[in-house]
Amino acid sequence: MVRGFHTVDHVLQPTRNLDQPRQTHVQPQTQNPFSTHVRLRTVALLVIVLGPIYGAVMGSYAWLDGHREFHQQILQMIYSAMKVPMLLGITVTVSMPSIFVINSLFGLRDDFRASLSAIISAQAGLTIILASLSPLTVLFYVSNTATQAYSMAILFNALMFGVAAVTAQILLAIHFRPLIQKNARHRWIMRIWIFVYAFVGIQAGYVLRPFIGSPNAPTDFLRRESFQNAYVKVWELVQQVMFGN
Amino acid sequence: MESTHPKGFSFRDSLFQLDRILRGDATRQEFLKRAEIEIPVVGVSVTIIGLAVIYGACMGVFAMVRGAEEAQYAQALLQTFASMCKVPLLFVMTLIVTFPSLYVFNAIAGTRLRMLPVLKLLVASLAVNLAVLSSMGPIVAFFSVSTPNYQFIVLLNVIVFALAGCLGLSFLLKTMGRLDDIDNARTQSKRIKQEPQITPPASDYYGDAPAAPPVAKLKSKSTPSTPSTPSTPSTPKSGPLDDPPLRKLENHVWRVFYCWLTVFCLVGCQMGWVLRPFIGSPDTPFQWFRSRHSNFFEAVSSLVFSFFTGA
Repeated sequence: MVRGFHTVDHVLQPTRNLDQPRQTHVQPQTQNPFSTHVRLRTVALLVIVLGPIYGAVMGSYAWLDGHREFHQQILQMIYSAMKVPMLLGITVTVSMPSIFVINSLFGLRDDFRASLSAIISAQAGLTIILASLSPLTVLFYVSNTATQAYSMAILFNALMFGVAAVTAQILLAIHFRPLIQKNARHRWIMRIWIFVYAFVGIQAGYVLRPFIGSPNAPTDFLRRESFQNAYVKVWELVQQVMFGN
Repeated sequence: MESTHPKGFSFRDSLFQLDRILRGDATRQEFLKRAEIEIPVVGVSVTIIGLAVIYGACMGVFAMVRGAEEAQYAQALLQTFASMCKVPLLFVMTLIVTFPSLYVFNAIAGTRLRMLPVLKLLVASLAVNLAVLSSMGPIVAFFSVSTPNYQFIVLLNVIVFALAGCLGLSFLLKTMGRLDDIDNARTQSKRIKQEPQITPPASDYYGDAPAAPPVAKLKSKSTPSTPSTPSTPSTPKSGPLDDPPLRKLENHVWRVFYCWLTVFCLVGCQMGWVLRPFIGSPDTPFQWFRSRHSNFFEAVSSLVFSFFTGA
């Protein structure tokens, strides 16, 4: 448990952990900025432990809104709880091979473990931020009784995810900073990663719907119509708005 | 330095060789000085084919998913099998078609590489190309599962092929640049007559090649103002795509190579066009090859047009 909190601290404030040995004048060989004080596995475990918190809160909409009883909505909550780590896991797994090869081609293979650690830490950071935002979502669900409440709930969740994603990118940049100081080419790796991650992540999020669960629709793990392309859909919407067809 | 040429083919060793190419270890200046790229052609070629089959399988995912939806399993399996055969075929055919011209152009440009090193260079750059391609395979497979839109998948594949091709060709050009630098260094070393200090490298078929001095030593004597090479064990470590340390390439060399690159790209695109379908349109029944009409560029531009206009 204590170790878990230590890991959370490390994920959110990697520089503080790094500065400590410098202040206490530890021997230079122990000052390796890439020797993360926490193990990668523990950080990955954070995603699995903390990810479901926001997922479950997100899926509790129909219950908190008063449309359904708790036992009717529990299945959706479990589904949504599973989907948040799934979303991050799928996105990272699908994007990782290309980053690995690009890393090698840029001559940065020796730092791959450190970049992987930064990337996984940013994912853990994302789940921590989402978990910290979950009380806001609960409050919004309980207090919102507008006529378009479901649409507003979707928008609110999109906003929360947006905030968490942007903050996670800042965290990623913080975790990458020692690497970039060592070799400026890491900045390109980070940019390419963000691009690939966003490209895959948007589609993964679209496919894994429903996260909230419409009160009027039956509870499903995946929607049959979910297997669509997010970018094609967006483009069709743009066409509809612009050309009206 | 342990031997990098295995006697037989082994899976582990072929991965190790691929890794050496990707890290840039196989094309570092120390090896290129011997006018040689130390990779086993057969082992790396088998790896290339394996990577191409993997990417072919990722391409075939689209046909599999659409086939499963319409319960046309046999067609889907055939299309996937065809994709898995065609991607390696595309690269092997492109290699066969473009290798003679690369060798001739290389000879004209005067980089003094013999035929086998040129083949090795081309195989190494194809290895880079295919490593990048197959590393993006999971992305293509993921989108294929979740996208019913055929045009999107075709465009995604074209973009992925183009990105992989760009990285593979930049590897080729950068390595050529390094070779040319070494060649320049050799010519200079001849001019300043420093051969007696250097022991010639052990090489069977380059016995007649002039011995090359260590580049750093040469520069310290002949061109003291140039910075030290990144291939020396200083940090940061250089990658295979880094610029060559000396940029004294003659213009005509580059002109010749850019011409060849254009030929290579055109051949690659057109070969892909001849070998299509790779993905398999959901509207048409399975066929091994489509009838020959139009060309790659016309088809891609009309595809882009129809995708963005919805026509």
